[in-house]
Amino acid sequence: MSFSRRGFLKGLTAAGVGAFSLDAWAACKHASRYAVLVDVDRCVGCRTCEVACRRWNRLSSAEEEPQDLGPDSYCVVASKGGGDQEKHAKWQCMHCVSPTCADVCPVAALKKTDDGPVLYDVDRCIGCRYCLIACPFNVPRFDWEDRKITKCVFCHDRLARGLPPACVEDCPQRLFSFGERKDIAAKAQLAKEQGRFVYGDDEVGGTSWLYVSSAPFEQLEFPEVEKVQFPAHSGVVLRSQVATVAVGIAALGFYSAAVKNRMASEGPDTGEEG
Amino acid sequence: MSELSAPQNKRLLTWVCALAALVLLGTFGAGHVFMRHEPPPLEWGSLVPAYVFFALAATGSSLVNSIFTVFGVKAMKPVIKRGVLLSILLIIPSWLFMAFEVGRPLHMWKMGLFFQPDSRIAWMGALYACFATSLLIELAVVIKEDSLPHWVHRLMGWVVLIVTLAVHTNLGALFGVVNAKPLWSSHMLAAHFIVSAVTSGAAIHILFNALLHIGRDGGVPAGILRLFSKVYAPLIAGLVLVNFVMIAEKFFVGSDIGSLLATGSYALSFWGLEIVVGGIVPLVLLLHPATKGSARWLVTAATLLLFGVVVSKYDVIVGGQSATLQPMGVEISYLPELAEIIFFFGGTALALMLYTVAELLLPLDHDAKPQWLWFFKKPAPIAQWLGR
Repeated sequence: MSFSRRGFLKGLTAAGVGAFSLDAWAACKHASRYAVLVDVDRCVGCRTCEVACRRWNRLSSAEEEPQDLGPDSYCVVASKGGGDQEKHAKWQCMHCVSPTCADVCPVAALKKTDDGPVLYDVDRCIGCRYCLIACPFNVPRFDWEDRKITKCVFCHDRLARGLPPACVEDCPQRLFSFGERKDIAAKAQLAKEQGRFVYGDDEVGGTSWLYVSSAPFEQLEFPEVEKVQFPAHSGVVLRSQVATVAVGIAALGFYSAAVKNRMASEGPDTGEEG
Repeated sequence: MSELSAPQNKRLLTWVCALAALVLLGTFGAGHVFMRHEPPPLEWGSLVPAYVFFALAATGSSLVNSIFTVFGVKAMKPVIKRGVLLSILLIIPSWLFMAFEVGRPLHMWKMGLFFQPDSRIAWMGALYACFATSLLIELAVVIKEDSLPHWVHRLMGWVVLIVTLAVHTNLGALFGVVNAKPLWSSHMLAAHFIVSAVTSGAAIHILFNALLHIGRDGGVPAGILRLFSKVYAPLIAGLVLVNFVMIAEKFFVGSDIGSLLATGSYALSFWGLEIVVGGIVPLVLLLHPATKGSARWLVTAATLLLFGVVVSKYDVIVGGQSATLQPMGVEISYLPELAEIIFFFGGTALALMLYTVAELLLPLDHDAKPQWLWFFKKPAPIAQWLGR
């Protein structure tokens, strides 16, 4: 059996081209119609949004003010700072334009819909929890009681009827703007031009929930995430895999050659197979 | 395997009973893990490092085998059958740990039905199936020895090597693509995994061969000892050095995970167990003139090294999750459950028990001829056809 150098290089090139094509295909396969803009400066932390969410999604939270996301709390209002500097921000699934959770799921139990929500199919899920690991915003939770993933569903049933999510509709401060993502992104851009900070416009390639604030988002302890979409990042790793295979074979070959030479120099018939 | 004497028979029975007790205990641990209702503090608990350790050891063992099967270093011929067998058996605990770690194990068959090519876990399932199948064929090929033409041996060697590297790099990528965990998406993780794999694979080969000969023959034959000191020891020593440099780099880059491992809650296991016990001490034992070349010290070095690799997987995977920035400002602390620890030992005992059975059934010694199983004893029709 012989392996020519030309054949080996051809194989590597084909694998590389394949990896690039996969990137391009993966990067353009998602759409996101609706989005929400959250004005953090206007939030007073009344938690009406949490109540509206629980009511619409028929969740029964034992805690009046849950501290973390979970099976009975698809969204929570987090408070940072103290006194006059205190800021509140509602936190839920960001419904990324290109969701990492959906891309890593081995059975496509999580899917991005055209309207924008990232939805979960419990019948497909194997419970590997890779989505929990991969989510850059640390949002999905695994409910060990019912053995399923829980997270915000963006009130997809309301969106299908052209209605805003329940939390958006019930907010007494009117701090949410709901609409087509391109219009929401334009509003966020306007806020940025006015000197405010924007989060979600290009984080992990863009999300369906965007935030504006007069304070930097690091102060609000929002996760610092990369600006690239997951498929692009994954593509880099995929290409490095091909290189690793080649380097691995070469390294083993060099080591074996060194061992053969060493043993052959010590005595006949010990170094190399006949 | 040759006839056993009465004391050897007694030792074998005691060994099998001890393993059976551990397997039984491990079953209880597995049951407890399977039935749990409370969420663990981390997304992936301690069974994932256990899975990764065995998965890497399996691929590492297979890579070490390729030094003979692909690159033809004849000195390894006496141990190649055991090497291939070990690669197969090391997969079993890793699969067990993964099956019980997932939240809905009875739905795992859906991975075949709804295969998603973007997902590394989907590929992991497919590639491990290929890995196990190709290793089983390779085991048959190496046991059949000279009854098959040379090109069949060489072809299977290449197939297994390529599948092994694909499995290995996919496992690395499974962690590497996760941007959310800074330690895992570091380029050093790929190097850390490959070094851990090859060192643990080589260490397991040493342990099993040395202990088998000490237990059965009263000492390690000169040929095997020469193999350890000429082929395995330099490989392990070199790779321990590389690992040390990588770990040092983690510390000096000044990242969150670097601080967590170097000065935080993982400092003791990192410096004490991973670096000193699992790195420096084995390195000294392998290089010091007073200890190098001695089977006893080599076995000690291999054991310590394996212990260090287990700890390093725990530090990287559990620590890697603990160091994640939490949007709600929650600090995570984690300790493995007792059931998980028991399950780990039970799974390891199961692999050892299967190895013991294989030792009794298969002709694993260098010149041993097949005596028991029909497939190995008689030339199979395909072997006859290939031999034309």
